[in-house]
Order: sequence, then structure tokens, then C-alpha cells
Amino acid sequence: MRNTAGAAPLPDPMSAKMVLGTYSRFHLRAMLYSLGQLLQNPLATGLTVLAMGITLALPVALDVVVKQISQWSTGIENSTQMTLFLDATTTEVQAKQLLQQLRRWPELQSAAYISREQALEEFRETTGVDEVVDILAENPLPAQIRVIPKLRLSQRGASDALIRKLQALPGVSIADLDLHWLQRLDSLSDLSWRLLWLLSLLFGLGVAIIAANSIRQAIENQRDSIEVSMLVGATRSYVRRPFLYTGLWFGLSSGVIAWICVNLSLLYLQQPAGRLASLFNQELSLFSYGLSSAKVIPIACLLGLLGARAGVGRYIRHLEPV
Amino acid sequence: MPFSARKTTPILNPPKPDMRIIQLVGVSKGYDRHEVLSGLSFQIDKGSMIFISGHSGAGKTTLLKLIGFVEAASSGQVIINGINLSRIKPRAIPAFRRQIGMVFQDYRLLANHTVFDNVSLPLVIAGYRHHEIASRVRADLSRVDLLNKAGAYPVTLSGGEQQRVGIARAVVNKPAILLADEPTGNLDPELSLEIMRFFQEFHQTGTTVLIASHDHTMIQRMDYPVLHLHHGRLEQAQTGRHELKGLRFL
Repeated sequence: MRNTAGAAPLPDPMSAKMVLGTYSRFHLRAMLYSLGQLLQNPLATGLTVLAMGITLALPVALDVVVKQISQWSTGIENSTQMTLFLDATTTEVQAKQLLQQLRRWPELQSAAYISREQALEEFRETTGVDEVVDILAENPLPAQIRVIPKLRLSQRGASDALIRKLQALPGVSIADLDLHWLQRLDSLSDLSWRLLWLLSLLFGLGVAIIAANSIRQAIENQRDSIEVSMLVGATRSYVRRPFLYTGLWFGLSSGVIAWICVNLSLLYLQQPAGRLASLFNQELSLFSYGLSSAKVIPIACLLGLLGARAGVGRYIRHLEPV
Repeated sequence: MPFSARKTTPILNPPKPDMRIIQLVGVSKGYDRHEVLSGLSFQIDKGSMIFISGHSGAGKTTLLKLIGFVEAASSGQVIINGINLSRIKPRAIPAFRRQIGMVFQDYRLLANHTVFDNVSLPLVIAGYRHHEIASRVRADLSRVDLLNKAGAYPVTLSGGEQQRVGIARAVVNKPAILLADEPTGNLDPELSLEIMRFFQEFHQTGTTVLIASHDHTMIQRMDYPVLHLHHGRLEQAQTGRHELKGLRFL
């Protein structure tokens, strides 16, 4: 076959030497083409990205809240103590012997002895009823040993066993610990984690479906172009590539939207949440969680990509000539 | 021995290199129990220019679709450039299609792409660099006298100009085979002749050209071998002259 006038034979772009450069060009073209297509329809693109971003923002915000609840729960458990009220007949020597014994228990983190006088003084300070204390003929408060256990008090079985063991000690009248509210907090934390996973799964699926549907619409709009491209030798990968990049662009932009929404929300909630935390003697910095929630961006990219792949796959095969 | 018999035996019928580029053996095609093509068997040599004629509904377009593998035959074998299309692997189909240039009656240009972008599409798909694409596209647009319309959109072009863009796109990748389905169907006689002139030029470069047309006057004027279809079957016409020009009936 003679060459056409004025046109020298071109090197084969799919030769072993040139294939890397060829695929780089394919990807660069697909990336820029898909971005251009999205920017040509700013309203439609913006609405899709907003829908995906807001959908993602909820599980991200819930993640921040759940992490904070877990942190509180752990902090409170670590500082919660049990009080052993000693018998009136227990002498100070016996109490201190008991204290030494308890300090050797592996289940206990620490133990401290509070004498009757110290207990009365604490009572005076916490209640402020000095006049009532002064008119008492004698100190009604028993000596106490306060212990901080190592185990998680919210583990009902373990904490009950420890209380019984302490109660059975000679010289101990009452072993006291109010676990109920702590167990409620721990249950709430567990429930929140499960809810987070469930919502993350559902909303993530929703985001992928939004991406898939948008891609299908884009394919339909470019149907003629796709059919002609396939007739002149485009592979499925070539046709698919720009749409996968479209999914990636959707994911990236919606991830950023979600991250911004979450951080703005946390900024708004920081003050009242901080006040609530202080009531539990806890510190709170919601905003630091917000910065770490940037992981939503790569997750959103992945969801966009998966959604695009799902939307493109079978539909492209449907458009193939044979 | 007074005369030593030479042991050299002259080769009376030396094997010819395989010139076949298109071969159909017992090919049929049907849609929903309606047979459009039936029992076609012929072969076409490389570098031939062949017309496919017949009445409306004879199966001309369908035959071109089978050769271009836009559709698959219901039975029989279609062998194009040594590739049996009934056994081709799906991954090999795009590469096969790059050997085929197709010109459509309705042009099938991309409305939101410029003339340059339409013509360059096969080269972009094949992975050529921008400067390589630009030089080839300009050369082909120059051959069809449309270089000054490179930046225009198809909607601004006349029918003849759009068909020339379609032809430029079909040949830009230097295909082995050029298939044209009623390329002059929407054009006046003068433009039709001009379009045929382009096909003859591409034929002269060694491209195998198949043109489906119902314009008998033009076909007779062009004096190339003709595959005449009648209700999906071949009517074998003058074979001697055709065999010399690359068409053989099996």
C-alpha cells in the first residue's frame, strides 16, 4: 500500500517501547475530558456533588460524636472508685492492715484510707452544712477505704464479683459503687458504634448509587459518541475510562464538601459540647476530631469510583455493536 | 547418456501469495426468522474496488455490517484479512475494527466535535501523539478539500462536506479495507461523482474499497466489479472480467 501524499508512516503507539506513554496519554486525556464535561454543566454537577457530600457528612459527624462518647466513657471508668465503709469496731491499725492487703490485690489500681475525721471534713466541705456538723455529739461517719479497680466497671459480671469479694473482707461494712449510669453510658457507646457502622454502610451505598446514576445519565448523553468510537476501534477500557474519572471527580469534590460541612458543624457545636463535657470533668476538643475526619475524602473517592464502575460496566456492553 | 536429462522441473503453476482480504463462505444472516442474506460465498483480493448493488432491502447494508463486524453472521464464515470473525476473541475486536474504515450514509459525525476532532477520532483512540494526529488529519482534510473547515462544526457543513469529513475520518488511520454504505445516497450527481473520485484515489493507494449503492448509472459508469444482491442472494454476473479485478465467486 502506498503512503498518502505528505504523510509519513506513524510509529505504532502500542509497540512495547511506546505503550507506557500511550496509556499515560489515554489517562491524562480521560481525566481532563471528564473534568471538562463536568464543568460544562456546573448546575447539574454542583447538585450531584452537594447531594453526595451532604449524604457523607452525616456518618462522618456521627463518627466524631461516637469517638467522643467512647473517650468519655473510658475516662470516667478510669477515675471511678469504689468506697469500702468500715465497721465501727474496726480500729485504725486494722484498717491500715486491710489497706496494705488491698494494695497487693491485682484487681485494684490503688487504695487509699480515709479516717473518720477526714470523712467528716470532706462531708463539711461538699455539703456546706457546718452548723449541723458542729452540733453533732459525735462523728457518725465511718472510716473508709477508697479503691480504684483496674477492670472495666461496666462489665457487669466482673464488677459484681469484685464488690462481693470486697464486701466479704473482715472489717468491711458496706462496699459501694453505683454502676448503673456507667453501664448505661457504656451501652450507649456500643450502640452508637453499631449505629455508626450501619449508617456508614447505608449512606456509603447511597453515595455510590448517586454516582452510578449520574454516570449512566452521562453515558446516555454521549451515546452517539460512544457508538461511533467503538465502531472505529475504541476498546471498552478506552470508553469506560473518562466515566471512571468522572466518578473520581464526584467522589473527590463530595468528600471535600462533606469534610467542610462536618468541620463547620463542629465549630458551631464546640462551645455547648465543651460545657457539657466540663460537667463530667472531661475535656473536649471536637475540632481536633474534625481535622482527622479528612479521611472521608479518600473514602468518597473510592465510593465515587465504585459507583462509576457499577454504572458503566453493563451499560457499555449494551452499547457495543457486537 | 548423450543428453543428460536435466532434473530441473520448471514450476508451471507456482503458488501465488494469498491475495484474499475478504472471504465469505456460506454466510447467512437473519433477524427474527426473517432471512436477510442467504448462502453468500465469494472472495475479494487485496487492493480491489468492488460495488455492491441491489434493490432496497436486498441486504447491501447488512453485508457491509458483516464484513465490518458491526453484526455477526447467523451462519457461515466471514474471514477478513486472515481473521475468522466467528472465532475472534472479544479483546481482539477493537484492533480488528481499526483495520476497517467505514463511511455511513447518514455520515454519523459527532455534532459537538469540530471537523478536526471528528477526523482525528480514530487516531486518538489508537493512541497517537497530538503532533502526529495534527499532521495526519491536516493531510487528509487537504485531500478532501476541507482544510479550511477544520474548526467548523458538522451542523454548519453541507451534505457533501459532511460526507467528505466522514471519508477523511474513515481513511485517516490507513485502514486495509474501506467500507462505504450508500455514500452518495443523499447527494446530487455532481457531488456523487466527486465523492467517487475520492474513493478511487484511496483505492489507488492500495486500499480495498467496497461501496454499497443502488445508483446503477454511477456503477456502470465506474466500471468496477459488482456484487449484485437480489433478496439476500448473490446474482453471479460476468465472472471473467471480475476475476481479473479481484472478485471471485465460490
